[in-house]
Amino acid sequence: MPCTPLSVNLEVDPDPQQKILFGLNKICNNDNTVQWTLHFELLQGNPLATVVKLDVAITKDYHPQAEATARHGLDASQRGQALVAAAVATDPTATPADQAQAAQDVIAARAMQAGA
Amino acid sequence: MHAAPGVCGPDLGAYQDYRVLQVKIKNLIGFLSPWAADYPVLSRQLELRAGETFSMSKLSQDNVLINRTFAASTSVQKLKVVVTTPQLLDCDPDARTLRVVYRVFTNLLATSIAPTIEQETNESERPATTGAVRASPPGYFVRPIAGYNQTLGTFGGLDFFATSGKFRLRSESQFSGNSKAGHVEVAGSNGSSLRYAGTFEYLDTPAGAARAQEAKLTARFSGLTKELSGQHVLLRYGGALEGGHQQANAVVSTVSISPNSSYGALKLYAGVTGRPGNSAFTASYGFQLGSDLTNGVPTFKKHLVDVGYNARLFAAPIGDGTGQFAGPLSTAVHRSLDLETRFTAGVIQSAAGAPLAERFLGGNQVRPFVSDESWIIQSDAFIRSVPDNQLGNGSRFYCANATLAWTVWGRPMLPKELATDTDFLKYLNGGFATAVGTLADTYKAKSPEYAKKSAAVPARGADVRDALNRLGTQLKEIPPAVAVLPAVAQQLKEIQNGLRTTSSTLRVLVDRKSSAVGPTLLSFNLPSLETQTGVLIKSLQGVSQGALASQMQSSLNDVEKAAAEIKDILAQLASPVYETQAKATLAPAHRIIDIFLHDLNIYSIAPVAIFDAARVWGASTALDSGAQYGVGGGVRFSLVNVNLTAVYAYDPNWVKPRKPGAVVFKFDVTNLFH
Repeated sequence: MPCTPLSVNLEVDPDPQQKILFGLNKICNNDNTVQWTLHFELLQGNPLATVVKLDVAITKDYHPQAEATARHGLDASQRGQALVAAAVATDPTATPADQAQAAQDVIAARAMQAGA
Repeated sequence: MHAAPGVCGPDLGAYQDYRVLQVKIKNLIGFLSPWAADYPVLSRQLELRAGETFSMSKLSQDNVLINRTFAASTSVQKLKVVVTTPQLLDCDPDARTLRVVYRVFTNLLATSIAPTIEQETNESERPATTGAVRASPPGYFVRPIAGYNQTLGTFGGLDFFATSGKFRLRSESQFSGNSKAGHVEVAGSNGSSLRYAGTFEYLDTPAGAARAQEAKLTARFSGLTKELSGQHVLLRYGGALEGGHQQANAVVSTVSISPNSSYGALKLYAGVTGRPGNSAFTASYGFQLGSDLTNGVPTFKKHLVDVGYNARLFAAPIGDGTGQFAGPLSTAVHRSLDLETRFTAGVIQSAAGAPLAERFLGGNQVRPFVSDESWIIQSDAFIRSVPDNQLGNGSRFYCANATLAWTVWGRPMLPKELATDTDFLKYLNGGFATAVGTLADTYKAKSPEYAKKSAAVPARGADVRDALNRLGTQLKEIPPAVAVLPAVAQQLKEIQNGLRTTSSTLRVLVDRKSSAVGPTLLSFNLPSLETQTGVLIKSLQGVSQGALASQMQSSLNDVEKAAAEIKDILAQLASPVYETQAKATLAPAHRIIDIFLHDLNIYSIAPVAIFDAARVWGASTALDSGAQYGVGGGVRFSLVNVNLTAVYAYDPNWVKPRKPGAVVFKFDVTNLFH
């Protein structure tokens, strides 16, 4: 199926002390294969400070979860994992591999149901 | 396979050996600031350039860069959406060349868009401009105005608008051969509910057989309540204090009016407005105490009632902002039958003390009670068949107005590429659902009641952690000869990975007391860990490690028991309240995007039919205009940022020296500076 790049970015500022950013990019490689990336950022406080900031390249194993996330957004389990990934990212004892895994798990954490 | 020459097929990968002739970024609302539409700085950062061979991966990377750049632009909004998608044009299979256009759809929504009838009227009368101004970050806004009416003749003017922080500056001036009008306003707000402004206004205009001149300073405020129901209804209230000077000359002898005096007034007004479904309504009451400031006693009192109802018939339904963005998205003009109705009446008590500019003169220009474009209360008899200020000169009036417009030609504001992209709404809904969920999580975290009820979750999380620590210790007790068995080694590795990721979740749950990660623990971390541990236990039983397997089973049981308790607590706490609250917070911005998707046109032409009835009268029968009517029609153009209205209305009851009808012709061109 032909691939057409598309990028969607959504920012919500529900109040002056909160900002939510969600971005999803569909990247088409030269061989017509598809790659997905997810950006999620949560800022809170006055002044606004980053609570969670994630840029996740979604591996092929998780494309079903990526597709479901694109369609329905992050579910409760994924939003929780985003908080975990943020904690791991600021943990000095965590290795780069741990940090990458925690970010990747934001997609993997989706509770998949029939038809999701 | 290639499409016909000049037309590019959907398989972009088929063009990888083509040469790129041109790369362009097209912001679909860029028509308001055309001089900024080329984005030279951003264009220089793109990987794919003119003269190079086309590459799909470069196209994708540039698409992401453009999207992020637009998303990062500074703005004050509640909801910002940026969608970018590239398009190939003019694919020439002989010359093997093509052009690349990145289309950017942005919607940067100001926080202060309330569901008022004025917003609905703007969408109907000036669709592209209204949509584009809403979708642009605050900046400078310039709108040259020109027109013709029979009282003023040909007139011209300039409307200037600038925003800086919380303050807005607006300056409006209008001149003709026999009139001058000016208005300068500095306004601010506390966000979206309370607005205040200081203005200077000047008016010098023909008023029937006389001339009215007025210069005044005004301080005013107005407030809005929150939306009162799912019908998007809100109450509004305001007050204004005015002081200045007025002059009138050549006043007809039947009216006793001070020709030259100071002038002061207190205005109080209140009303209700709303936008249920595809309609909008307003009802306002205005009260004015006026004085010539000679003895500090009010010399006249004015009462006004102004009600209006607009409906957009046969239009795509607009939801209440709490559901999903729904298709289908139309690539054809958004057609609707727009009905606008209004009834206004007023009375001046002690009218002899009212200056000419404050009396009811009637005609084909709307004279607002206060110069607040976000809340228009008509304060005079509006009748389009009678030239401005020429219906009468009285202390009482009523008017009823109806306008019907039907869009016959145009093009939707949403570009065809997005309207036909099946992924667009899907992604938009996904992003919006994430925002709703995250906001609901925040409301939960801020709720004392939720915090109290969920306090047991971290404690049970600590039980899970203790049990998993025991399990980790037991794993180390597996004899080395068993641990190296291929099946066991693989299970051990997976369990250790699982323990590591679960411990990260438990740190957030137990140490930071964040029960928001409870669902992650229950539905992501523990299920696979429990499964893998169960498999390992069976493996250990198969290699005569029954005692160790039994200890591990005991630890696993403890994990399952604590997890079940967490699940019970979270189930008891499950409530749609927080999600409903989050959806309600975002509903106004959601509705505005819905209007963008389903309602606004970038070009439109609509024939207009009008019917008016009005009467101005006073204490003397000589001042009674009698009931006058206006029947007629015209056309309304909205061509990108140019808006034009031309109507003619005939008065079957006309009497000399008035003409039998009147023409109104008005257009404006809106541009934004950033």
